[in-house]
Amino acid sequence: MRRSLLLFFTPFIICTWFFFGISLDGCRSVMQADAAKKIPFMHKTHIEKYGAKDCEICHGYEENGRFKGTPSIAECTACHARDAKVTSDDPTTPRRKPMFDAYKDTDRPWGSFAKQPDLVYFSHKVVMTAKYEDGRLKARCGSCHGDKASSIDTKMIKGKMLMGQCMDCHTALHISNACAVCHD
Amino acid sequence: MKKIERKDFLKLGAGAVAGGLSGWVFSGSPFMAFQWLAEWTQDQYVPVKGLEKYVEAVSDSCPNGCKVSVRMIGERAVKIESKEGVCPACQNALQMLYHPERIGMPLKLDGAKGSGKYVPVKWDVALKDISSRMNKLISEGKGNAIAAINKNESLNGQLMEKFIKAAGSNNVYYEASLKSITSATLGGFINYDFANTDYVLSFGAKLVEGWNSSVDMQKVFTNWKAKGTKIVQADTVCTMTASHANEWVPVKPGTEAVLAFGIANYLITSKKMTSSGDEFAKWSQLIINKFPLAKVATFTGVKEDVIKKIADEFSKAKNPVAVAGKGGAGVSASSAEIIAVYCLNTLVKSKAATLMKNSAVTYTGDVAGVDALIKDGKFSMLFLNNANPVYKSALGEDLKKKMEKAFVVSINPIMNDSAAYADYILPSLSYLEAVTPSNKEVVKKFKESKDAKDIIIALAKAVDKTKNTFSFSDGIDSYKIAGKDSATGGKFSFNVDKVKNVIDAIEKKLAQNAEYPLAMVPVEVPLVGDGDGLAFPYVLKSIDPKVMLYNDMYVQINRDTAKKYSISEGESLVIKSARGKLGKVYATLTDTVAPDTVAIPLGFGHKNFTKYGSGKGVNPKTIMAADVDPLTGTADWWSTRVKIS
Amino acid sequence: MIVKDVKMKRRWGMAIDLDKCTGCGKCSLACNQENNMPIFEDDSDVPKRVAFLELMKLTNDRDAKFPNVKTAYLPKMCQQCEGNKQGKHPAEPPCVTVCPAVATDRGDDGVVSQIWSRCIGCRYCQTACPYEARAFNWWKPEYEGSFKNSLSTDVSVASRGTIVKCTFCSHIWKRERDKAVAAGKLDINDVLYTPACVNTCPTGAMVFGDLNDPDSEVSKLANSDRAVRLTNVIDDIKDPAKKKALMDKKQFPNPKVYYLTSQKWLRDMMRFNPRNDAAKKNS
Repeated sequence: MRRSLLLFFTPFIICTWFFFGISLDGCRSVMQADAAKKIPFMHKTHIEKYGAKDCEICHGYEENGRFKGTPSIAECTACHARDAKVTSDDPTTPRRKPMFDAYKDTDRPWGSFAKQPDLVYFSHKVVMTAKYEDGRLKARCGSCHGDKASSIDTKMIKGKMLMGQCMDCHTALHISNACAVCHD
Repeated sequence: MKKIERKDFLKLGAGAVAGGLSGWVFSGSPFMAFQWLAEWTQDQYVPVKGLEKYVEAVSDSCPNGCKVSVRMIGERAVKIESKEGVCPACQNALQMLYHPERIGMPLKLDGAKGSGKYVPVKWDVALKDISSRMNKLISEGKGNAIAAINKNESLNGQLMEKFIKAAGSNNVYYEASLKSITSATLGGFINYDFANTDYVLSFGAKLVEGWNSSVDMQKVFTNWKAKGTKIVQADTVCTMTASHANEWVPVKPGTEAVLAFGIANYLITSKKMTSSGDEFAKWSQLIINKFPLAKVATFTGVKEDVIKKIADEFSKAKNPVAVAGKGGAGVSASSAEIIAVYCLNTLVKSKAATLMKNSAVTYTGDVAGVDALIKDGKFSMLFLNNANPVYKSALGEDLKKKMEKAFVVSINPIMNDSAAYADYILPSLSYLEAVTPSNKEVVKKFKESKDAKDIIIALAKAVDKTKNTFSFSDGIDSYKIAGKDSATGGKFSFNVDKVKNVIDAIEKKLAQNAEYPLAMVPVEVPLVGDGDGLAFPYVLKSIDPKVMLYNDMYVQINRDTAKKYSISEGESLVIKSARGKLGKVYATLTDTVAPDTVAIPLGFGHKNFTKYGSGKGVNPKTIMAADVDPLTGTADWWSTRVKIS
Repeated sequence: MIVKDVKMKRRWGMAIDLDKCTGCGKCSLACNQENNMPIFEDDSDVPKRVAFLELMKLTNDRDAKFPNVKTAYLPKMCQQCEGNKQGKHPAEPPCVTVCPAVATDRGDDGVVSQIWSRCIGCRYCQTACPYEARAFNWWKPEYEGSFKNSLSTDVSVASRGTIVKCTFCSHIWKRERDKAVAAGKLDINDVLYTPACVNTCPTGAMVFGDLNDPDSEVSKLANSDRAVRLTNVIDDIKDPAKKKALMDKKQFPNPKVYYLTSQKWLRDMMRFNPRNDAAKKNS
């Protein structure tokens, strides 16, 4: 009896642990947790120390209301000028970052954790501009993307969101959950 | 240790499987796994995102120059819109721009003509070969053996005309169109003031189905409806124009000209009206003798009192206009018909029809038109400027034979039936890649293709005699020398000596013929037109099942006629004319077609028009009437005597 | 929490004037281009063709003999039915009532949505649709080579085995909403838009707008004498008592596409009138 249990549970435990690990990796990749993050970036310092309090400075909108998404190198070089000094004693001027030399201003070296499949339509403009009667914004960046403002690296906080999260908020705010609102 | 037996392996295996499964389940993975599996198995193509914007462009495909707005996503053009209107061909330009069978480099023939075997070569190699051959012909005094056929009189057509004429040849032609055959007949094309007319008498012209400038005509039609302009349509088949007209005058196939003779006869004899054209007296004598109203009524099937009524209404209208040019995108008319209908305009002193010419376009050469060139012309070198006469001309098969013996250069963006017989194919652009004075190119040009204007200028510079024909080297500068339209002053001749024979031929064709008892007339299908549309999938998507179903092409036959010949719906037919027979087609029975008539769709039966356009249906032009008109230089293929079996 | 209910007040409808339609085909082209229609080398298998807008050619030659014949073109797309709003059962379009997977549903603005990713491909809705307006993807939607370059990102590419149909270009509504919000107009009822087909019609035969707005052109046209709806037979019943009795019991599609015609043969044909006796039966 003991032998049977040993024979059964040894591989059981090994395989559970092994497949648990593989599955978690699989989940992570489906959730896009490994979206390429070639350039390190610290949100916390940029927001707290360097006063970039408005997310829209780097994560802005086009004129027709479409969201730009992850910034391109141009947003970085807007402050970290390509011809600035690499080291300096002046704390008010952003430094030149040599790591940008390999990139064009139009490149977007970051993948997106939050990328949705083709059949999902999400309008940042509409959701982020919506206000309550008393003027407060209904949604903030952190409501869906997690506390990015305090993050010190490029690790995923909240990945690809599933439909239920959108529907829950819509239900609570009495906004329509008809299919065509988010799908086409 | 006890020996490990089979039972133990089973326990190990079960443990492993159970473990793996529970590891997989408890990680929450099944939900993700199914989602991933769904997305992976569908393997759907996801269009690439990008910055969205609108870019303005002007089409240079035809002299109309329609303005369009192109919706761009990043570098990709995804939609063409236009506030002022654009014809279906230019609205569908995206399918030309991004056609997978676009030609990207100059192609040189590498096999028999028509085999479709080509090898890519560099531009300078192609230009050198072509120009050296031209130089040789010119130096031997054989400049006139160089011929050219333009698709239309857009700027690149005008440049081709200048180039070939500077090389010492008079053999530049434009594919048969309303403008070209009218010009050849009357010395000018007709500018219609449709906005200010109150009575339109159309002789088979499919006014709202692609005739003349389809963009303008749609606006004209909207205007007519709003104003209550009276439209009288003489037509053999109940087309949309006939159905929308206030009065449809059903005429027997090919008798539109005779109706015009009858009305002219009545207006001249009963109303004593006269025309300013040369030889009017001689012509009116001819018409009055040959076409008394009773005979006209028999030939056309239109009762005498109806002819008189129409003539009366026409002459009493404030600003009436008579319109010739049977067909829609593909127009056919004999010179006799064009003259007769224009005569009606001059009889009533219509202010809505003015003869015009373009300073940079001459429609006739040594012969009067493309078909005359095919029949009688001799050329050792032929340039095709986006033209497709092998497909569109009734004498296409004869042209193939002449092209096999000549050196042919074709300028076009995708393979077509005529380019398949060329020695060199020089790839040109869609208008979205062209630079115009109003806009930069919307999309970068495809591989090594070039603007047709630039190709022609480069050719001119490479040939000794034409080196200085163009003072510029860039196509964008050629807009400075674009031709301008101006009125001709209205002088025209009835040309009785030539027209007499045409009229005799018409009479002969309409006479009873026991061997070929039926008449075959063409009909057009939306978006396909006279054939140019078939290479594009979104055009294929609109074709009615009564025209093509399961790759079978249908022709329309009147129900009584079908009963007479014991033809049932969907039965296969062989149609024969004196020129030959067509491949298998099928019958669909409808009373929208006159009795003893077969209505066959135009635009199908391409042999070389990309995989989307080839091998679908039959091309009726191969057996259609091919007598070349002495004035238009083109065959009036509209009505052909046939028999069916 | 102070939450204001935002109600969609628009009810999108279309009016197509068959007296103005010349059958040019631009509506079909524009729709295909806007909605990423799949590309096939042989698209002549018409019953299986995937297209949102079918340009139907009609003629009265079933009843008339040459030369008393007429022809007309009729652009037919999903009629965005509403179902019987006055009956006992909830008002749903015929296709929505039968979908087992809730892949199709009537939206707040009256447009019937079709979400291909929920579709299980049973084709029940395709059968239920009285207008044959739904297309089934018998083959995987593909775009050969460079044709992929002209695909729009606003319409997702469906998979094989799902149903697709006209959605009155609701993605253009979303596009216009983005633009309106970017310009500061936050009210969803501020957004007006034009579907691709209507935008390109050269004679103005196609009109689109809000049926809930009595001043809109489409409302005026829908209420005009020339308006007729495809096979919505209850429209012909003039007797108010009879009409009410039928409305309490029967289901009918109640489409939001109104066709305008002054030609009697066309009106008769749209009602599936079996010859002219039906006119007597329905009065």
